[in-house]
Amino acid sequence: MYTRILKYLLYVLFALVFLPRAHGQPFRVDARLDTNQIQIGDQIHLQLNLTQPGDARVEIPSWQDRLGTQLEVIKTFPPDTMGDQGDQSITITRKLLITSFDTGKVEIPPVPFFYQGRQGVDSVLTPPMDLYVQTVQVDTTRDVFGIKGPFGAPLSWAEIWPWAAGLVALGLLVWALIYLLRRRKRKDMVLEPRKTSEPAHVYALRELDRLKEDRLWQNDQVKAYYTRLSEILRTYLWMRYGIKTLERTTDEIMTSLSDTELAQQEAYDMLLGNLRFADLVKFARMQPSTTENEGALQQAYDFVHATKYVGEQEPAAKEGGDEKGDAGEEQEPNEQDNNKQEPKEGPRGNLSR
Amino acid sequence: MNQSVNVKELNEHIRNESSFVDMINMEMNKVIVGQKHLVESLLVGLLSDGHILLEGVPGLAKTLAISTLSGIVDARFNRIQFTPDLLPADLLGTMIYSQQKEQFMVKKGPIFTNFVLADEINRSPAKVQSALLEAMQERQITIGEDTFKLDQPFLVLATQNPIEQEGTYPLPEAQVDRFMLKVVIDYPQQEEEKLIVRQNLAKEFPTASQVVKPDDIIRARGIVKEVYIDEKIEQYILDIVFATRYPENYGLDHLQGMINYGGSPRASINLAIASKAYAFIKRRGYVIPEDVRAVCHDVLRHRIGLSYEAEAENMTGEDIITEILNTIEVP
Repeated sequence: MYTRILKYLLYVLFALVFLPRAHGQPFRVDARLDTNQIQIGDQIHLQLNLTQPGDARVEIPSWQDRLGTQLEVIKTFPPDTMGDQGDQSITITRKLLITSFDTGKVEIPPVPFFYQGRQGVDSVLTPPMDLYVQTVQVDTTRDVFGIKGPFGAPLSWAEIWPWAAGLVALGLLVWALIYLLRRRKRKDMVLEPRKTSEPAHVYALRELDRLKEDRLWQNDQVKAYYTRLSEILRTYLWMRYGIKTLERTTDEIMTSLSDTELAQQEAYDMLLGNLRFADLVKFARMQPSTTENEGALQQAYDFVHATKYVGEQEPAAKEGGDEKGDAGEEQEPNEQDNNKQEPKEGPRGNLSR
Repeated sequence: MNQSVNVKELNEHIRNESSFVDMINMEMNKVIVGQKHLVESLLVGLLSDGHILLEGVPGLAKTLAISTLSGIVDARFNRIQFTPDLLPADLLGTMIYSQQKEQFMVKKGPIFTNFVLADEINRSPAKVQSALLEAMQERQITIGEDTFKLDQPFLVLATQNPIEQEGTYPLPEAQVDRFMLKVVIDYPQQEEEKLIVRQNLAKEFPTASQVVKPDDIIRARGIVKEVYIDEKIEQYILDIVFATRYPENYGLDHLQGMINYGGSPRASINLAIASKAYAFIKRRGYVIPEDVRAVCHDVLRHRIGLSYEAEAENMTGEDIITEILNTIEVP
């Protein structure tokens, strides 16, 4: 209280000693409240009006978040200026949204407006006002209720955008996953030439040569001979067409190939006969004749030659290093010899499926 | 060509002996529209002496299929509707007092037949399920002091509804393992259903003729056991079953946390027997990988215990089996 009185005295002293009046027209200030009686926490407007000469320079006070010790400034509105053409004066209106959380009589302190007078800086003060803040009446006769939850504040864009961005990112991630999965599935279904370190037919022909050199069936290892033969063909199909053949049965392999151009060729029937014949030997204890053993190998050679990739963009051949050595027609082992041989009758078993 | 005499002869033998399969198929197809897989599974179960758990919504011709089959085989058929208040005695039979003879007499229950349709088996409590499953396993029933052998062929076809799980008693894993196959039936195709509707509107229901005797089935079972199964196929079967137990050993590390328990040795046995029966149905004297893959889902789907993690990821036993089949190398 003494501080406040001292502050007023200082204002008055300052005005009397250092700020002599400069203008003939008086400066008028007044302050108005929406109401002088509120309930605790209610928000009301405080309107400050300053009437001054049009050419006077006035410093309009600014507020942070408090006005005096008991009042809180919630919002400060921009100043509004209104001119009067008759006496060249203007009225500046400043509006504040205030509240108080103290109960009882709350004093709104005088607000000073400083202006430049003829003899220096002068000021004018708004009159002090009283605001009566009432507490909420509690009806003790009624039930006691729990504490009310906080009121939801309206959402701002700043709060929403991180979530929105997250949702969009998640959506994109899900889309990308679905896309990749579909692509992978499609890849599994669609036959495409597969990139390998060497062309598929080079690998197959080399392995068939090795099989021939190992002389398995001549040494009573017929089952092992047909197992390797079918493995070479299945691996060739895997490398050549990119379909999973090692994990599929003969019927499934043939079904996978039935949608390709291969199905229209004689090679398709050749392959089917060869794989089925190998199955008979592997799973039905079939003992093929010498002619059938040789015929099965020759049929495998013929199949590889008939279906090898001859396009310009043979990816494996380009990656294979020495193209002549790896993929050249003349360089392929046994190829010329094989081509000279008469096509033999394909393996046909007595056991049919 | 020098062909192994045994397999060649067996193949010829099976060709001759399995001709009745085509007749059964033909008669079944006269009555059952579509549901080819169901008919095939019934035959596999019938020929390999294994019981079948059928899962499908009502109205998919489960009862009709088994009653038709019993008619074709000239066998007796009983349908038992499992309810929460069913008692073991209602199923197996009990001792009743005969005033005329002044002693307790055995009153046999509906299980004393050739084909049993245990409808909605999971609606009855565990004691009734156990009574049935023990009969399935032992193929004999003891009432009082008397033990009765069940007639051959004896085939139990139990059904359960995949929806409406409220108020049911799910079969424990150990009990489910006793079913050789668990067959999941789906709705018929549109064209098939159109035919079904037309038949019902016209009230013209074809009837199947009796073409096989129970003795033929029993003899065929003996022949099915002779179907040749190569060591490579045996290894393939073991690889599949072991992959359900130790997926990490087969490059399926991601399935490790998905499986609580894999297929039991009974799974390997049943997979081999069912593959033989399937080869027989296809009129072959030897098993090929296609046979194993054809019956693999039906044999294994109820023998794989899924973890919570798998359920959280909406993974089914079906998915796991498919993934295993797509990974294990075919011989």
